[in-house]
Amino acid sequence: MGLNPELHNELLDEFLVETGEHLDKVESRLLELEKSPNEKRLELIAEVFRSIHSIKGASGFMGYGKINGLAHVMETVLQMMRAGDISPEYSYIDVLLSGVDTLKGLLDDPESVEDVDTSHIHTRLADIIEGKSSPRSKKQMETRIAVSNSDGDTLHVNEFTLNQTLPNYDYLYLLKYDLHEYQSKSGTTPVSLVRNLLRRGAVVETRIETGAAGLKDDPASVPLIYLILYASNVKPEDIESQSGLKGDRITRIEKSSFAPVPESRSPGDLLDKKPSDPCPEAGAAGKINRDPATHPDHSEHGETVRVKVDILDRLMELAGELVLVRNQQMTIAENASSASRGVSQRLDIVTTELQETIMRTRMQPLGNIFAKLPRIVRDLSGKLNKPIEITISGSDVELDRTILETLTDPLIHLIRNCCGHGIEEPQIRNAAGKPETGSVAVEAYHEAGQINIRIRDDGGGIDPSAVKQAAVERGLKTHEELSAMDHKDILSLVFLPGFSTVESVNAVSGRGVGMDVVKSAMDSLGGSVDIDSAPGRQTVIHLRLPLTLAIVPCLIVTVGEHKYAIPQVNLVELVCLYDEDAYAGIEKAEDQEVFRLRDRLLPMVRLSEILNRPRPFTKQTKREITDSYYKSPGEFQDQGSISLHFAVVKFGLQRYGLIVDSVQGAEEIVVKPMHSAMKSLGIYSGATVMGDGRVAMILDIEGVARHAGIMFRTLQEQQEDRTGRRDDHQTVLLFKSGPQEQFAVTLPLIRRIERIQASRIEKIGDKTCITIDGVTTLILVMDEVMNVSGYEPVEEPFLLLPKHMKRPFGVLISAIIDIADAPLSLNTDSYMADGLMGTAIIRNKTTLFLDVFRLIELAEPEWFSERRKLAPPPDIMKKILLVEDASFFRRLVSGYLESDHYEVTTAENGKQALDIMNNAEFDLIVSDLEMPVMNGWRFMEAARSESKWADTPAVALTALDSEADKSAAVEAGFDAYVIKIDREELLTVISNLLRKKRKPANPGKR
Amino acid sequence: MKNTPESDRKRQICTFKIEDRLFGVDILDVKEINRETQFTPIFHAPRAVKGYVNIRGRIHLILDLRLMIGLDPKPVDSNSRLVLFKQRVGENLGVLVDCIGDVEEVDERRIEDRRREDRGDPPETADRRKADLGSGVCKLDGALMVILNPNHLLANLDIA
Repeated sequence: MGLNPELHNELLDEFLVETGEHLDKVESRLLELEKSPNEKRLELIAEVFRSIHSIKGASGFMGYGKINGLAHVMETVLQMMRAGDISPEYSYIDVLLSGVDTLKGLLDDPESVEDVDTSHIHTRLADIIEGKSSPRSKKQMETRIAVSNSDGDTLHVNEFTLNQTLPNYDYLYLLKYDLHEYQSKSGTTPVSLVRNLLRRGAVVETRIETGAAGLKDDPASVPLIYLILYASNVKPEDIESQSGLKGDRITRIEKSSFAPVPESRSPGDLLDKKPSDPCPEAGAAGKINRDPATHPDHSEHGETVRVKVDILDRLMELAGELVLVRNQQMTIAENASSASRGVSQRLDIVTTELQETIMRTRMQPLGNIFAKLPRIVRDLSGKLNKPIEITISGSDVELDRTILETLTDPLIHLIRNCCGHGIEEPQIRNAAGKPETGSVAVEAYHEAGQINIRIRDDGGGIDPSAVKQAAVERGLKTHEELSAMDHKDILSLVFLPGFSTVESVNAVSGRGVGMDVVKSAMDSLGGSVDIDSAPGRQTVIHLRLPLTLAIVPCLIVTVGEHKYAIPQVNLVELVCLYDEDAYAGIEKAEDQEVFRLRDRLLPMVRLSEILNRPRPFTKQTKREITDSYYKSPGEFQDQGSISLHFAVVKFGLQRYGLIVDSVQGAEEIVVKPMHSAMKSLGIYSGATVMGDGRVAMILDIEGVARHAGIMFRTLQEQQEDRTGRRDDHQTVLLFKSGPQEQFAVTLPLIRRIERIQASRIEKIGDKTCITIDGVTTLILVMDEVMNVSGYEPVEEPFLLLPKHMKRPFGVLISAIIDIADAPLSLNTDSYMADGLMGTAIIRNKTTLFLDVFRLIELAEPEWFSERRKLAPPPDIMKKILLVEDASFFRRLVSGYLESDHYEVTTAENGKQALDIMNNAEFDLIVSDLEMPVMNGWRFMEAARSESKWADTPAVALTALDSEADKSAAVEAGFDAYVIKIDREELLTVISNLLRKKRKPANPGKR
Repeated sequence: MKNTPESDRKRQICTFKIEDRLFGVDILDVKEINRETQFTPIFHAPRAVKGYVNIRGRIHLILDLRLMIGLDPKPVDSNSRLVLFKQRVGENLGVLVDCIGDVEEVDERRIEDRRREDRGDPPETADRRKADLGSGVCKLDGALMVILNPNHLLANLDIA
């Protein structure tokens, strides 16, 4: 066929894009069709029909027989739907959707279209046509009508198609184009020609007349005749201008004059040979059910233009530069006349608007990916036999193109997850009293300069205990860590790599990838993902995304006279140390500078050193740097006032401190990639033009860490580090009650801290109470139980709620000072009062460490007298062996035991305990389960194997709280199981065990 | 011009000076001459990289030509100029020169191909490859002008 290759490629591009758009539309409309009420259906069918028809026409023109053929049968099925022969029920829609899939597949690789086997779907469609057509339709379909013009050019069309199309239009024309001529004269492509025609009518049938076999063959310049049977409302007198054809190329066909072609298919029965006169009555008769929605979709194409991304990028750059020019102009204008100031102001407004508009060119509606979701849900719903509905809102929210692309897979994964794991089987839903049809709601909206996407399903939710168990089983978290986490933290564990709560990896979601993929995709986009769930009711996943990637919020820092940008995503916090802290705060750990920030040991990196040393740091380099900055304490005096700024930065799970000269502030910058010759420099991720017109480098935080040779500890080591530190430090909350004393309570004992309204505190008898979450909570005021300065009333005090309390009570706090590290060994000599654990100097102030349990015992002795009555400590002093690895708990628990007058001996692990037990007698053993060297289970097994210890009562003290753990502990030989750190429970259990003694009926468990 | 024999062809050379030595590049390779000298240094980059500079919103990589030809660096002064090359030479690339000269029309015949002299030399040394920067020499008003081939700039970067 006579098109040159260049033109062909151009056309092919256009064809692929357009057909893709049509298919997307067909898909969404088909899905809608299923749910729509009858009166809307016709409209939808018509829309789908038009799209498929366009595909059919275009593919025929491009010489793609396979696509054309498939589109044709789909069109026929749609015609049958339109005619009411079949209703748009599930099975038919299904086949049509498969057809759409097949077409999409064909389009993916247009060059090998003809090699693809489409017979399967063909057969399915053909079966519908065969089986379901009404006899009349069938007959019409088999009846072919020939339409010819005076030149003898003939088009064949089946009567069914014709009958379906004609009633909507007044006139029917046979148009004859020579595409070569048309192109050279009008300069438009055949595709736009067809598009133009479709705006005012319908293309019933087309045919290309050529000697060559297909478009791909020869680029010879023989006339290329394109026949179009065109149904339209364009009046005969206007058709010339509308079609761009001379009168002799247009043949008006009388609608009334059709006659079936005999089976011989001879083109003998020419219908209407000569151009006929306008014939008004024919038109009027045909106007039955004109679809009002015939045109708009095609006109839509006319309003968009496809632009190369690099042109947009250049526009962005120029807009940025215009901003600079504007800034300069503004400075000049400040001293200038008011007229020129006015101009500058307008320049300012226009520039800002220009920049915003250009930004918007990169934006695409979320609807582009949301449109895929209904199909996915529908397919899964069928596959899993769970009826599921999806509702989508916010499709018009726009996002940067690149973000949209990266978002697609995670979003689909989340939806699959909802359907696969979230929504329960219908039986289960019934039993739970929920509607049988599960629902998934996807909602997008703007908030706080970010795009929010919320995915909610009303399924079974996530069971936190299953999550905990899985986390422990997979070695992702220890029980200790889990016990310190709240509900949301625990749910967030599902985002850890290697986590999946459903064992079987199935085809639906699983597939070897978990939620960690979603998490990492969000991270890479500078967004975040949150999960919340009410077990049994729903799961909500919340994605937050920046509007665009091209503009990134950054922190600008300086080193020397140069500015550097740290992406906000990598930033955790900023720290400034003054004077002595600036020297002494940074410590040396081997060759690395480190800083102790709250509970974390941060490796420190000096950006100036990084920049000045092009070679990756070796041990030697690090030593040099560390030594050059390290000052002995005596040297501080003469240095005068000085400050040290650093940013705590993170990548993945790693954090370090980056020391800079100064911090300039946050700025939104336009990211430019590094020059290709400079890409190998790992410490930069790009560059940007700052507001003053100068270039600033954007730091690659991970690359800087690599260059600095920071040895990050593995998770395991970090955990060990943390437990190791627990040995000499505890983290405490510092607070005040009265104006004088500083109090401290160790964090592991605090359940939470609540801000309360002083006005809501009530007096009930001689007690002070407040209602929190509908529970009347007793308030303990420090100066009522201890000899300390009187509580200083404030409007919004805090209430410290301790853990493991059987009855709700809280300590009233007038002000929170901070969270700080404190030594574990407390001073118990200089000042001691009942209710104190001891004192320590924190921040140059004597701090009173509270024993919360003792305090409440002092305030409410009756709460405890009951227990003491039921389970009093034995009369004779009993000896208890306490085995616990964390020194903090060791101290705490032995304190509890001593308060009930037991004699306590401690050991740090099972092995040590066994050694001690060789030379000592104990009445009872209290042991932790998770310990290094020898854990509690193995320790107990070993102890029970010796006859001496076979009957000694033993209590497991642990943070593990699952039935499996309990039974494992009993299996190992423990008599009781107490959750850390419930003092009352522990003391009750011990008392009961000691009084009962081990039953002789149970001699020597194993 | 098209039908003149090759021997008569003229080339327009954009000339500039470094340490009183005359250099030139084919004007067809040059996009513009710019006096912008606000450089942002790129630490860790090879020594001859002067830094990034913002030319109308587009970040350009600037090489210090003094260092590229083995001289010591010299502070930027009012005569310093950037020679920015066209996109086909290298993406957003330019060199810093001491002083810009005139555009000279040079007869193709008067340009001696430097590379020709090296033919038959022993295997490539770093020195030899550096020589590739200069594509020819020609006499101009009694002085020698070295014509540089900017296409080889980036390849010579790591050894400069």
